[in-house]
Amino acid sequence: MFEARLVQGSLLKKVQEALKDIVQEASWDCTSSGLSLQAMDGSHVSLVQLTLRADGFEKYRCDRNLAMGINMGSMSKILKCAGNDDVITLKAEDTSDRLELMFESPKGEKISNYEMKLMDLDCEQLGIPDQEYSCSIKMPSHEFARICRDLSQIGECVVITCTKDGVQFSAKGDMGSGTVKMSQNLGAEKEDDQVTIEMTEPVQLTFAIKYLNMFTKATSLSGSVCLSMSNDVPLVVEYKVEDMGHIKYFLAPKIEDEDNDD
Amino acid sequence: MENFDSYLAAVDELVDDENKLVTYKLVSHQLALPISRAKQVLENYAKHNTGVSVVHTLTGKTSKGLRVSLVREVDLDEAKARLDHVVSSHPYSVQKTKLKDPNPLYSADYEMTKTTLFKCGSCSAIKYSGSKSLTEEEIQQMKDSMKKVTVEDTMVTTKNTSPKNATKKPASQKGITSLFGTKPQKKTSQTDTGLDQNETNKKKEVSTNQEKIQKKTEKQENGPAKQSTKKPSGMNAFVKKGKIDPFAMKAKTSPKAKNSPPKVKSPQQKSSAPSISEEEDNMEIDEVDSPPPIKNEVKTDDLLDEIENQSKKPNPQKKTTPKARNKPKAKKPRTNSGELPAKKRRRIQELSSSSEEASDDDFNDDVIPPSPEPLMAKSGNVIKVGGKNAHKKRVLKSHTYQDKDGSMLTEKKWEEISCSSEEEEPVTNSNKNNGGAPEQTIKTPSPEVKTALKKNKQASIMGFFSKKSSA
Repeated sequence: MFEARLVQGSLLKKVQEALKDIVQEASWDCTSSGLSLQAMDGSHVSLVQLTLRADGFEKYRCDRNLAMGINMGSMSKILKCAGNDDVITLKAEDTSDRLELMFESPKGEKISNYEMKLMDLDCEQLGIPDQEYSCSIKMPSHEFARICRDLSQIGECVVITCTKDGVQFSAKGDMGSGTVKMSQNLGAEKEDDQVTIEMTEPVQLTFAIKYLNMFTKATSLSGSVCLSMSNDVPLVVEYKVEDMGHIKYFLAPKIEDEDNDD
Repeated sequence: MENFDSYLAAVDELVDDENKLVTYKLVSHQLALPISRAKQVLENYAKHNTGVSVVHTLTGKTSKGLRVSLVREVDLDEAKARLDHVVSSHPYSVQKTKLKDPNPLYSADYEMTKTTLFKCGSCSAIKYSGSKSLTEEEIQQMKDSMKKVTVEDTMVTTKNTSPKNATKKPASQKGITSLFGTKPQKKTSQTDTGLDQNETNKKKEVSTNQEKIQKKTEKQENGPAKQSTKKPSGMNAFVKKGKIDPFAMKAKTSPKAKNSPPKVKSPQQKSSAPSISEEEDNMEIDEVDSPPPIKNEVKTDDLLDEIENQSKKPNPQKKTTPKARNKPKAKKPRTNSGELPAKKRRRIQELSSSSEEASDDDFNDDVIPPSPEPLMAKSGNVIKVGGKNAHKKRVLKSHTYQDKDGSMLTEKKWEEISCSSEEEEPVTNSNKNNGGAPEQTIKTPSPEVKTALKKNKQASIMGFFSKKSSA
């Protein structure tokens, strides 16, 4: 029996919105410690990893580890039926192939129940090594979203260059090029508005903007975003989910290839 | 009195059946009765039908003066008591319902009075047998005469206003725009007059002639007006000028020289006989009309400017002199004799036309060369590439790549390596790139090619994270 009651139901809605563009089907792993999800996009270029700890739920019960294969589109449709203020409860029997979702309006006068069919997914799980990154940049999430959106107008690739001066995003395209530079800014009043750069060595990596733009769907989850980079390893874009977990997106860099492109 | 009964019946129909608020105006209009008669009808009707409510028009004198009020029958006595002297009391309207507020009274006849506003006297009891309606011809005549008057008015106003505007806006360009602004008005006015005289064929000639005559008779104010008559040529020239400007660069000096003589003349003659100088200008322009447009433009423009300046400023000497200073320097050397300019013009026209052609040729030359040059460059490149292609080599290469199962495999293949072409390499090397990390050292053709080939390849996330054995 799995049951999780989340008072702040909007969080789950936002999480779902942040996931559904990048993965169509994913396996939600329910363990006693919490909910987690790991999935790659269809082209196996990026990977998203979600963690929602058990203590973030008002009520959490997981008798047996479950892997719920969920069609993200369907889940998204159902979660759209929930109000932003609703309390969301997820329930699944150990043997059942259905997930029950219950939405309670804040005053309890309206209770909606939905059932979603689960799928049998054969998911490859990747082991993500803990890694020290050469650079980690924390910046306002809306700024990052804005930069990705703007530069996606210019070109398909963004070069992220992190030096001690700051972090620079640049894109080139047929019509020209664009560069956005963010300098470290610790003076902002809100912590979310601060730009902090921690680095041990300068990094320059190239990424496909379209994936970054998919990552920024999580912008509403958190006021700040953390980018972690090292040369020749995937970029990590991390959004905190309140105090109960995080969404981490991993994006493989574009590698300067002496070979031709296929 | 049969009629009267029928009137009553008609009123009864209106009041009782159509449930209307029937005023004496409505009765008058519907039954084509004089007002006084309509009131009588209403009064009579009210007497016979006690069920209806009546509103009276009560006129009387108060201490403050004459007072006319609409009063319901109920309040009639009271209202009469308030008046010092009652002059008259007529029924205003008859209706079935009892009115609670006066709005219906206002709105009742609104539509009707609006439509019959101009035939209000049609039902009047007072007739004048001597009056007769105008025939259509007469009406047309009246309208025409009205038009004429208005046209003249506009003429006068424009003439008066244009100099004012000129004084307000000294900038030369604005002056031209203001001229354009005034022009159409006059044109239309001219055409109108032309229509009046049924001389549509000769409109333009007549109008221009008329204008010339008018301007001669009139004073300096005519200056801008006359420009307006010239405008057609001036306009054309202005439009063309934009196109031919590049050529004009060369031609400019000469036309200015041509223009200079009239300029010099005009300020001098202006005080004595401005109209003559203007005529001369016209003549000149007419002469020039046939030859290439550049000259016309420059001339007319300059002329326009001059005349503007002259006409705009009440004391033109001040402003014309500075311009005269600037321009005469160019003018003087060529315009020593008064008559020469015309001949010179022709010569210069030829020259300028030849220069134009030359400039045309220049332009063509300018335009054409660039296209061949790139072609040359391209062709050069192509040749180079072809040359490199000739150097294709067959090489035995060993490829190491990661299998789907993760095992490393090596293969040896004969491959053709071309030093330059980018397209062929892909085919040959395509075997190499499978998900794994590329480790090979290839025989790289040349550093240049290498940089050209460098492209960002999207790596797979699978290459960075190992699969979990548990999953």
